Amino acid sequence: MRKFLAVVNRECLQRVRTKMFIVATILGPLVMSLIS
Amino acid sequence: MNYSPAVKLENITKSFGDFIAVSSLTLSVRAGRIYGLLGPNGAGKTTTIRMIVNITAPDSGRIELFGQQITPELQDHIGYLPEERGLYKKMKIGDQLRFFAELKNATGKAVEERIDKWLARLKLTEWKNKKSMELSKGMQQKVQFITAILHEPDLLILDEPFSGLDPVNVELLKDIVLDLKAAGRTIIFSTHQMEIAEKICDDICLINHSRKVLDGSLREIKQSFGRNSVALRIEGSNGILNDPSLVSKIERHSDEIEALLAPGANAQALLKKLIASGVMVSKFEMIEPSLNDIFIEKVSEAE
Repeated sequence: MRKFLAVVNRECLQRVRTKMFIVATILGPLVMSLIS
Repeated sequence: MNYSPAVKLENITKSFGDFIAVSSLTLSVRAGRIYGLLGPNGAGKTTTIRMIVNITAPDSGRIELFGQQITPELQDHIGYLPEERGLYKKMKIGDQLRFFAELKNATGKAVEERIDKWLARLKLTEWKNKKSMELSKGMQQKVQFITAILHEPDLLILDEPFSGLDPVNVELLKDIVLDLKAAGRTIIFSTHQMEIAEKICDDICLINHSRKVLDGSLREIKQSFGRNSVALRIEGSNGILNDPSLVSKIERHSDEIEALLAPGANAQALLKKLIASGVMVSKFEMIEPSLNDIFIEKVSEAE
């Protein structure tokens, strides 16, 4: 289980740390609020 | 842990479709020794290693590690450097090493210390916070070597560890492998570079076309093949060397000649004839057959 979590942790961090993820996280809700 | 033998393969066969990759292979790796799995490309070395580390299963036969069949817990006692290198390109070297150690159940301060120690030993300290895509191929290989030894495995399996490294790094890695042996680890490594195997192996297994050609202690194998070659440096005509009753084969190197004595020929007789012919002999040394010669001889015998 520990090894499984280590892999999950690594895969999550790799995705979360990308520029696209950060930009989309900030702009996503902003764009949504502007549309609605 | 001190088990003897560390790895035992009994009558292992593995095929991929119609292609037989490993055929009825039996071998035993003694604990605390360096075992070389040698053979040309496509001989079955990597397939054998993959079965030992439990990546693929044999079609038939039995594999034992430390006296028992392999389990996931036992896998934590193995360090494996695969032939196809694979690091995460965008991950920092330090994080990468920590991650691979964690996959082998090694965590904490001790691992941090070991990471720094090995990075320093392999001259990679300044690269710790760099992503692996910024490193040269050779450096990446050294990093991957560290991932194989970081959890201090009892059994270390290295698939072509020296390929693609420059001579300085080959020496560096060789020294580390010898140190690990001195620390009681068992090491299996595969290579098609006989010169390196010759320098560090205690025991060897020669494989060709999926079959074992020869195995045993390197020393004993060399002794059994006898001293039948002479390294020569001579000035003057070397016509004597063309006498088939004395010499069956000559190989010219940059500044000397290696002469394989004809069956039944005597080195003393050759030396006498050379001197009698007026040739200036500056070197005359009986040499052991190289592993390369032994391999070529055994392979051609089989074919």
